[in-house]
Amino acid sequence: MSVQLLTNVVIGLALVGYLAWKQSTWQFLDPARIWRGPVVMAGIGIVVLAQSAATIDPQDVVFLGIEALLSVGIGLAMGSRTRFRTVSSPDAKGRTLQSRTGWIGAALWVALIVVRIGLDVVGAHLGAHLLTSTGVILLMLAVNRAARALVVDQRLQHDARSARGMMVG
Amino acid sequence: MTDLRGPEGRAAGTDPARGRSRAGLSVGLNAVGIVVVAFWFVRNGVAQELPVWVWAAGAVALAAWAVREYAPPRVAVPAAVLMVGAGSLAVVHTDGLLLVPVIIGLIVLEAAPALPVWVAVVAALAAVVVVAAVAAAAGTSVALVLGTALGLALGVVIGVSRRQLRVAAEQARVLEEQARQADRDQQRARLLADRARVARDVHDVLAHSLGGLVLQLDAVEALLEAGRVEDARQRATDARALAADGLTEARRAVRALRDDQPGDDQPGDAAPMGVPGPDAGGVAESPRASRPAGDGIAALVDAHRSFGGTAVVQGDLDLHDVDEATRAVVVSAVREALSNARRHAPGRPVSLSVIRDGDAVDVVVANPVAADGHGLLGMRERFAELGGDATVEAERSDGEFVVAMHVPVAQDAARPAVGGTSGRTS
Repeated sequence: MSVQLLTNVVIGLALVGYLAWKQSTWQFLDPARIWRGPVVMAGIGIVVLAQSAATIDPQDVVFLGIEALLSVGIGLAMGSRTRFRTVSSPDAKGRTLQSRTGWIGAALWVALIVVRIGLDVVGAHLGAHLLTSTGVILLMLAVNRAARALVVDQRLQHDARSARGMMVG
Repeated sequence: MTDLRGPEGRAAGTDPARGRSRAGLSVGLNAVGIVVVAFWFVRNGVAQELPVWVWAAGAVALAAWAVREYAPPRVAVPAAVLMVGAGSLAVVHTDGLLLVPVIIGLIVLEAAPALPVWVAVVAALAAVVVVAAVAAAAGTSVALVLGTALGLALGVVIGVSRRQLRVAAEQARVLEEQARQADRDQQRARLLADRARVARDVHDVLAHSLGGLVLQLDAVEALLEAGRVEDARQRATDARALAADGLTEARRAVRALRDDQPGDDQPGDAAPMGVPGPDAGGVAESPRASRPAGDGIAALVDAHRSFGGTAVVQGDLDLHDVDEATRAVVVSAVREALSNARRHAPGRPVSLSVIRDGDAVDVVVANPVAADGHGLLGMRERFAELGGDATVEAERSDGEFVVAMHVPVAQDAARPAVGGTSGRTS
């Protein structure tokens, strides 16, 4: 196990702990800023990846694609598990909408990281060396958050539409 | 490339003629695309001696493309999935040629309104994995894989834009439907208002003439019992004349209502209730049921007296200073008041006064006993329709039932009249 892989595991565990805690508690949600996190993460990931100047071969693409599929799938599942509520007292930014994914969401996070580490190991054996770079980790996290944001966004829009429909009808 | 309007896109077109021609173009371009891709697939395949499974995958992808284009819309999504799956297997060995059906399949998946947005994204990722895996196994350069990934991303983006076009078209359709519903509701409201007017007119005509008839026939009966045959004959003649008048009025009312029907489409009739415009026009053009044969309050008073009632009148009974529509409403209210007085206070004196009061005219009918019924309701409705300053009050006051009307003077008669009231007292 390389030092970089170990670093990744530590970073991943820290992120998992932080995000799992956020998933399972009610957090204020700003629908207008739902895409900010994924975009920032993807931007940093691409910059880091470009600076690493690693060569890429088809094996890398295979594993990157599988990882992206995994990230998207878990992100979608998280988005659909997300519950919403509105609180009467807004926070400092005036938000009243809160969301929570619950312990299933936290478990999905852990599953994502575990499978990712497994892929890292398998990929390293098969010559896919790009997987272990920090940039790719950030990109995959961005993909995961983007998939969740997509589902959450659509559900909120759907709720807003049906609320309007009820008022009209 | 090709125009990618799917069969479901054709159905969603709002302009049928345009939708048809664009669909025709789409079918033609897709046919050309299928033929061209199939030709090069076979030609290069024979030259490069492709493995059997590549032939099979390519054939399936092309067949699915044809099915997507020419089969019913419900098979479009399964066909698109086949296009992506089978096509991506054959991309590497055909040097990217079979990327075309994969991209079109992705566009179809992304644009299908029934599917979530992410389906095409997942399909694109899966296709990239398949292409990369085949490329890794075949030892192909990574450039083809990356180019494929870019092409698939492009397909997803095009699909998103097509999806948004469809959503916009659907929203336009929903709005149109809502507008039609509002239109129907409005027509219904107009119909109900018309019905209320018809009920009022029928009541006015029938209650007036039949009520008078009953009184006359009562008198005939009494005279016959008293042996005054000659007087009874006179009364019977009056009663006949009244019945004939009533019939004439009823016919006129029916004719007026019938003549009104084509007018429903005129903008004037669409005006909301309470605006005097349409009613004024209607009254001015066609003799409405509310207009008595003899016309005016004087004729009503004469009729009232001929039924054996007594009336003390004061003021200008011709209502020179008010406009046609207002006069018609006042006349019908006076008729109702007199009719009520005969019914509920037979033989008691009725007082009727018309007094000019600055810019308005007050018409007051008072009789000893109170009355209420549909007639008063209709009276109030008519005044409400006149709108403006016209009011009517019908209530018991000091042992009398008083109907007091207050109507504005017409614009051209608004100059102050000296003396206010004129002549015609009995």
